[in-house]
Amino acid sequence: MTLSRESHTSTSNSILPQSANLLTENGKFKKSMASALPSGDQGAAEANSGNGGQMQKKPFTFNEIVLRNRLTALVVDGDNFCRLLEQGILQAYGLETQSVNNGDAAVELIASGAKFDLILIDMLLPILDGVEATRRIRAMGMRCKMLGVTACSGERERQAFLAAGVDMFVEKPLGPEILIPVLRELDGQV
Amino acid sequence: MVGTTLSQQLNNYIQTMHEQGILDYHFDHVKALQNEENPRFVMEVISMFAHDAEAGIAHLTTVLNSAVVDFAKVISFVHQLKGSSSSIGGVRMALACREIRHACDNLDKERCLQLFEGMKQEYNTLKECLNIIFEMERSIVVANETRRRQPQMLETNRHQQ
Repeated sequence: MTLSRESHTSTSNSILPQSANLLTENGKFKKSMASALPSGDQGAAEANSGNGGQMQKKPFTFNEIVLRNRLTALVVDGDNFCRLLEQGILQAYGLETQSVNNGDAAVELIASGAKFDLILIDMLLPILDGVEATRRIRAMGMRCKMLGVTACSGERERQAFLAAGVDMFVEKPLGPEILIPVLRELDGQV
Repeated sequence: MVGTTLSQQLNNYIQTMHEQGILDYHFDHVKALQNEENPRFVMEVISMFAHDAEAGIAHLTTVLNSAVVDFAKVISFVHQLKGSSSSIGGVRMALACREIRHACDNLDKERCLQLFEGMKQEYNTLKECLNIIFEMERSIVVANETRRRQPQMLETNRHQQ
């Protein structure tokens, strides 16, 4: 059994093999065994790399936020691995997701009328880069939350991406400390 | 139960990798995506990461050993390796990729080659760690499958008597 690698556009919530669909028929996230553990302090378990760490660390779960509304997201990333993980994480938090692997496909999707509450977009993309794709998406009047999630880390790149229209510039990977406040805001929980 | 013991061993190993700085907490997020319906998810992610990383390293080897280095290509491959390694929690490998990117910005081939060797070492360390996790995950899957089959085998034996 292997992870599927959609070559262009994934419009299904099943980004993983059929048996690994994280969503029920109603689009709700299927709770994992880890999340069935007794509740308590179930926030993200921050690793303490290099400083001794805790001996009995609670397992990380995606239960820190429970969405009240239906939220949709588009993941735009040219790297299959990162795209699959980002989409999986968003689904685990309860979002309905689509993904594309280049900037041109993202622009086309928006131009076709697709609407999203959240767009995660990488900077270095094939065919049309993330900066130009963002510019064109904003020029079409799309006002949704856009996070530039990229392996790039320079200040010049950050300024260019923000100037193009992303709301936040995030160095990969996108962690819960950034994503959860964004989801709370989108879900009206703030 | 055998499966529980193996899970505890796995969690302890992951914690040790955290403490050694080889993996950061992003690996925990990947692991949390695994559930009863996709018990092999972590194994598949590790396989995918290793496959893509080795392809990226092979491309970088070719480009960096060219007479005239195409730094735009180097940046592109390094960008991919940095993104995937950081996403799986391989923080040291991701940092090594960042250093190569800086050397590319300075168009410094020698420095790139030097840092590339360092990055490959970090990848090998990470790969060794992930391979151990892979094998432990596989053992857990096998143990759980065996445990699920056992009640059925007992029932079959009872009917045959």
